[in-house]
Amino acid sequence: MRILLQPELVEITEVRQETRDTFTMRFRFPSPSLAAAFGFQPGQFNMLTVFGVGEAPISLSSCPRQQEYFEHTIRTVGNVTRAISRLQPGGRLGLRGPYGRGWPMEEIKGHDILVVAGGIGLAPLRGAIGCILAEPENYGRLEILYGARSPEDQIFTYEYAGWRAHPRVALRLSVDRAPGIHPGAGEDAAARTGAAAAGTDPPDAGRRFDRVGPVTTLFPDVELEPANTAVLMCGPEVMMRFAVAQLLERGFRAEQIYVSLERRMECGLGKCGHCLIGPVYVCKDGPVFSYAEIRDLPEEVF
Amino acid sequence: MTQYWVIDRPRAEAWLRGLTQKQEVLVPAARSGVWAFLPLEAGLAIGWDGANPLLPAKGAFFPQTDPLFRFRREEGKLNIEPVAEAVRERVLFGIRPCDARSLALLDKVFGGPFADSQYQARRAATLLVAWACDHPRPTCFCQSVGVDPTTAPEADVMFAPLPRESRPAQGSEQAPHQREPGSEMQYLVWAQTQRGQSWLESGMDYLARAQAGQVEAWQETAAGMANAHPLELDMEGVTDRLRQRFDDSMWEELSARCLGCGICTFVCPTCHCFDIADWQRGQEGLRFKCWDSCSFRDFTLMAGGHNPRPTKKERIRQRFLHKLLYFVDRYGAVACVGCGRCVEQCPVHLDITEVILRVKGGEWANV
Repeated sequence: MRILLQPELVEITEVRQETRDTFTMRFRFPSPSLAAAFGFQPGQFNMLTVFGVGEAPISLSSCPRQQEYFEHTIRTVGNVTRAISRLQPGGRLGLRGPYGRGWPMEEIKGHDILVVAGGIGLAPLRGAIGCILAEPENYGRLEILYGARSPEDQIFTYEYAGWRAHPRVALRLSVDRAPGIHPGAGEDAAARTGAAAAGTDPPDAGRRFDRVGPVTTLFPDVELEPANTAVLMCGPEVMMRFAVAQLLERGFRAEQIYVSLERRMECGLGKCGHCLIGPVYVCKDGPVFSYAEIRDLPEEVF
Repeated sequence: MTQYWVIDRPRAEAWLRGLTQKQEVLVPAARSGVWAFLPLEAGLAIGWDGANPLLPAKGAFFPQTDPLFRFRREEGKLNIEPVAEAVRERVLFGIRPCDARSLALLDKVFGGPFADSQYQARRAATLLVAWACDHPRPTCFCQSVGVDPTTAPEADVMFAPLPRESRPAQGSEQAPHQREPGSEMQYLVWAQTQRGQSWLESGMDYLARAQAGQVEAWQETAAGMANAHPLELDMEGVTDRLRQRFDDSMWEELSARCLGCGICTFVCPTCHCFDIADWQRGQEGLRFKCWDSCSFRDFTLMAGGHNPRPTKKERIRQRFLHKLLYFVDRYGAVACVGCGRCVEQCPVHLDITEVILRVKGGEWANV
């Protein structure tokens, strides 16, 4: 009897180190029929298996329009992710998915898009950004606010030049701390580029920042007006708490703000009970919710 | 028109034991002193007179541990093998109306989108024979949560104990002193589904037609049982009141007693949270599902260290609100069948009926 909880095998084709503790893995299905059948929405996740160690829910971080492969960006924080980090190209993992409800790419067409990401929270948003840039005629302007702990903790730095080159895209970067710069020293920091942060080597050319402080210190620079803007947000809960509060103050409505949540998950199918927040299963009903959907949940979300 | 049959205990025993030749028959029984639903086999006594088993019937469909698949590394290649489990036709005999209701609730969780095929296969393969419950315990409160102890609508067949005066001897040649205790017991039997009807037809060697007055005698007994349960709760409005009590100091107070042992969740017929884990030895391993408990600290602990329910207060609140509020919001029913197992088993007397009473603003009589 074939069961939903049994993973398929996928092969690692490439590994890129993003930061000290974070890497991006590229995958393909050895089975051509599975490869053809696999499709996903940005913001969805897979359950990745290292056999003998366990499973972990990990966001898809590539753009679904790329059909030759898909990617996961993974931070080494627990048993499963540590075991995954030891694997090399040619190695195999178990995978089941894609699961969950991703970003509302259809509903937000015709709107300006404000992306607010913190740390590895940029991973599930990279695919959404890719989809928007692939069909810019369907969306308005795109502003990406990304906060990392330090310039060395920024992920996807190789994407920044491409995003910036787009006429309707603004990318604004903050870091919680940078060598020799005091928090709040925004103007000074803005003047510094890769040279100040992580040297001038070409691979790190993307590492720069506009402000020092949490991602919300970038809010005064935002040009998009609340009226016709959808917000896509993912990051640590404390970041999202302050970011949502400030956006509401600025006049954004809860319905316009989409957040991606993280919870412990075992099944990913809305059965095992681990990810419940009140009556809501984060795995199946989310992980992407409009803030209006989760604001009044009994358990504090963030 | 329902057809009623009568069977005495020795004949029922003979029928069930005969069935084990070709299929599994699960019955209430004790092993090492623990009451559960166990496969009937020679030497195992059917717990006719016992109380509801400690371990609920959910385990027959949602086992405590449930293998999912095996994996094996051979010459650098990894092979995944499904765990071959042929789900055979079987009979689950002797579940009470409370446990039968719990299966209807679990069906809501394990059915629907992403249905659990193992659970569903076991449900489909199992004929349910329920007992009208004439053994209420001091902790039973099924009637308060809408379960009728005299009937289980979810079952294929009902067995109801007949009152003694309506039991004409059923052709027993043995003198009374030679009989097994309880062998004089007779049961009124009727089918509630087509499947149950077919099952009864296969057992006609053992069944006799109900005689005049026996059905009425049972109905009279049933009417008497309607209010027989010692513990009575008024559930009216509890769910809505709980919506307002999320930040109540009651949770902190209750959690001070809680040991976090999880026994309430394991003996609960509706608790369905599970974990998925790997067991590995050398080049082989097994992935399995097993019961988990929201009482445990690591139930919500994430790899990065964040825990949305960091203390016992949040965890105990989750257990009660999941049963009495969230499950109602999600599936339209209270996830408690009033079996009283958690009330009886909790080592520190954390009592769901106390929570309900307090939410209703009533006094807890026994404290």
